[in-house]
Amino acid sequence: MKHFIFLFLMIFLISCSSSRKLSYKQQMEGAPAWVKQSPNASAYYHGVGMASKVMSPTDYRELARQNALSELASAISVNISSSSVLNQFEFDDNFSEYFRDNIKLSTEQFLEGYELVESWENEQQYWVYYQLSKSKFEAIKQARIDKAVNVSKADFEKARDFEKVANFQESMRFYIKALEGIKDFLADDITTEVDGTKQSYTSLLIAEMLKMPGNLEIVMQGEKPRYTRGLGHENENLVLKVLYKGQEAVKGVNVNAEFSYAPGKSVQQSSDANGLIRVRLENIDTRKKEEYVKARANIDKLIRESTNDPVIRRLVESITFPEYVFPVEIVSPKWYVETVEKNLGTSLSSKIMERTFRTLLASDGFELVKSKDAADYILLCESDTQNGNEVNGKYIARLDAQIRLMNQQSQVVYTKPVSDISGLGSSFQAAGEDAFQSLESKIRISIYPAMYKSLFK
Amino acid sequence: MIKRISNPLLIFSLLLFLLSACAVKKMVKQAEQFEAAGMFGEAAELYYEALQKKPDKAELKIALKRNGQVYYEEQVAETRSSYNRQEYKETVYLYIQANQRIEKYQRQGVSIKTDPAMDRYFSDAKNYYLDQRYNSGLKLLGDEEFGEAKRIFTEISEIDANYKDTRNYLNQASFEPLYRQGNQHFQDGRYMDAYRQWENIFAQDKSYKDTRTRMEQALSERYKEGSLLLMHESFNDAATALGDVYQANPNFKDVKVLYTEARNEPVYRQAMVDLDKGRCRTAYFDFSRIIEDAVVYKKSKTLREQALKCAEYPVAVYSRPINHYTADALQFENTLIGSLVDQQNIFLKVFNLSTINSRMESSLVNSAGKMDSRLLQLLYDENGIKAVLYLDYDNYEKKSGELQKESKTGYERVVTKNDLGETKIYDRQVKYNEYSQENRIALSVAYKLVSTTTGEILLSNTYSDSRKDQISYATYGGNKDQLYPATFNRGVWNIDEQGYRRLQSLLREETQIKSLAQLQKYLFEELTNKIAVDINQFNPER
Repeated sequence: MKHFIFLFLMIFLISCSSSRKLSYKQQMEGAPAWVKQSPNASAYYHGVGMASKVMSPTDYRELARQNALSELASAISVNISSSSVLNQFEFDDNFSEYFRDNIKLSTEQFLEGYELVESWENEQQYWVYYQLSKSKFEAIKQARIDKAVNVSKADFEKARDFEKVANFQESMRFYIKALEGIKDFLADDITTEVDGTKQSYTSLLIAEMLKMPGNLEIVMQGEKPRYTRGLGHENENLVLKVLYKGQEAVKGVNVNAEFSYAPGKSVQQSSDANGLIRVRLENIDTRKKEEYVKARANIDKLIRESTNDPVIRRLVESITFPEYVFPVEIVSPKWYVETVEKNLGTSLSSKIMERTFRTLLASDGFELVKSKDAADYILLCESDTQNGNEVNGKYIARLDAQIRLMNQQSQVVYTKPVSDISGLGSSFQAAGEDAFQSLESKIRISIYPAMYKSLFK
Repeated sequence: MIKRISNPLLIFSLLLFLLSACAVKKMVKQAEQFEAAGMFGEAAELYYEALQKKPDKAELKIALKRNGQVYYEEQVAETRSSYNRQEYKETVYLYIQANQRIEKYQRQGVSIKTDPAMDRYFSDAKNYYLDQRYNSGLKLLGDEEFGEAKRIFTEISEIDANYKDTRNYLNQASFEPLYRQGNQHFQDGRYMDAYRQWENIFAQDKSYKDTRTRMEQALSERYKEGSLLLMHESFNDAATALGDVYQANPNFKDVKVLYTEARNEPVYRQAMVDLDKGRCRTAYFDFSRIIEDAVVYKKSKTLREQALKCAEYPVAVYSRPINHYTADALQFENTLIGSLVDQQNIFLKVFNLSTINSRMESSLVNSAGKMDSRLLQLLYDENGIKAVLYLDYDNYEKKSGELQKESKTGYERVVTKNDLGETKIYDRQVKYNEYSQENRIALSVAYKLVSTTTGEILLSNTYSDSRKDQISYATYGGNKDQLYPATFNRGVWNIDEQGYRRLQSLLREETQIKSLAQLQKYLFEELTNKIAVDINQFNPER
């Protein structure tokens, strides 16, 4: 046993001991100066990259090169011009950061003219040093800008032409394309000749594009619509029209409609050749007398079709279109309630069923009328109780009732026979009254909700 | 040193300590490998675990801070990337995970420097994501998809509990299905199921719709069901229904009274029938049950008294004399009466026949053992005796043994050691005495319980038993511990070393024998107790 413990302890001590490591100083012995400190020659942009041979034994050279070029791109400072896109759109810090990152990425992608200065390696690491002449970089960049502006201007002109003929969709599409053409230079102030004068091209392009949503208008055809609360509106439409500059009907514009009485639900429709949009109504179940439908142009699809560039997409997606609110009048059906309530054949002085139905209908926002002719729904209830048994001074009464709901055309839309409700009391009359109390509970808990559902849900 | 470690607990503690120390060392080693491979998240987690085991190790804290910070930067980059891809859900959860990690490390005393940009990404992404989820939740509520809506509003609530009207909608999504299920149960007449659904809601949100009122309505309907069943004398079902209401609310109307009635009325009625038919003992028990349950119920207390009176069972004990041992028979009879009284049977009244009617003793049983039915009837008519417990003895044996004495030869052995360490033994022949005695008593008793009104033998049995005591011991006037027995062989006494232990045992034995009177007491108690138990368990109504 004791030998075993000793052996065990030895195994522990051996397994817990740590191995010796080479110090960093030893590893970096003989490294050139550019490894230890970043180079500093003002006529050049510099990039030094390193990769671990241990971590990337097969592609450490390529990895080091990429790191060096990334550092080189980072050295090319990004100055955002006052006329750049970013200063015309109202973006938050998150987008500004994103924008800068993308410009850096773009710079990195189109990096040309750089040259390898030197490389160094030890057992663990591989280091490489690149440089790029600043004057050479500027010349290459200007050539790229000129080329991009030429292409962009052609799309810009097309966008203007479509705008003149109120073709919102195509005009917007070409504005997006024009913007995409200069996407790598969005931070720069690009000056070029447009309409015979030299002017800031980016500012002009953005300003004209941002005017577009303000010119797009959604109007309602006809007077304020009036709907009767309840089911049966599934095939009804609210007709809206999309106009450009208040006159020209615009086709193909996608409109998103939301309903105040159906939270979370929305409908998307594109305008037809006449600029019309038919919004299919949701089930109208609301106690309010007025609700509204909100409509707003939605160009997400158009953006997706027009560009694949994420920066341009995010730029254009941030353009807000005005929201149009169209009030709709809700008419609650009028109800007429008539009950015959008897206890042991004698009419009740205080009608329990009538009071219950009236309370429930009023709390659901319905109007109660005193004439059948003025009612949209007529609720008729008949009820009576009968003697049951008597045991030890306790009396039982049984209640039967019939509930019928008819519409204006006297068509029965809901019926509910209620039978065998028992009541208990110190007399048959008291038992009958007790049975009516039970009926009241049943009306509240099951009968009225079922009737309501059949009409409004 | 190892040789000195003999305590297993100490060895175990040492091993445990080494195991723990080794585990931390292994964790650190693995964490270093992760760190070298650029897997800072994994490295940080291992350092965190190690730090939990060794909270005072500064180098672990430093390592955790270093790796945790680098990993946090990676998470920031990942969050930024997901935000820029407009994958807002991912952004939100990456932020939450990063924050949870920071808080976790903070609890170990390691703080990570946070990036304010993370809050911005989260704030923006949260607005986008929650807005979208909120709308989905609303749509689902509108479509009455409560389960899915609840899932969404729960998620929103976990991210931002105060987001818009999430609390209300979460309540609606959680409670509305229960509320409606309650409605359905109510409609189906399952009032208590309905009650429980609404009660469940009420327990969590007292203001949700009209649940309180509905609970009352459900109880009211169940109460009515129970009352009607009670009126129709379906007592069991009524007790179930009224019991449901009573459990839910003991103060509901007069449910306590009705529930008591439903439980006890059938018992009460049966007790009345039993009392009427002379099954007084059964009636007594039933009335007792009612009183125990309800304390006061109708005339239970009076009727129970009546039942007890009627169920009383006076028994006269009579035994035939034992030849030459008349006093012993009387002794047995008295012991039996004591045992019967000890049973505390409230119905049983025990009398000695000689006390009631001494003249009858000689003529009640003839020489053939047959009882005179006329005299039995007389006992019933004049003394109210319902049965005679008749005892007949047989094989009575009492034997008091003589004390037997035998003088024996033995040796007293003296062992000494001299100055040189040599042992010397001296055996001296001596005399000692051995004694033996035995007392014994035995009895067989047959009993019969005979009805005084019918002469029927209601119960009978025979019990036999015996008791004896015997003693064997030795006495010696010298040093008892040095006494050895001796054997006589071919005219020579020899010390019997093998018999030493037996003799020592005899020297320590009890010298007092139990007297015959004591043995008789035990025997009589044993036999009378058996008979008393039989009589106590005897139910004349069965």
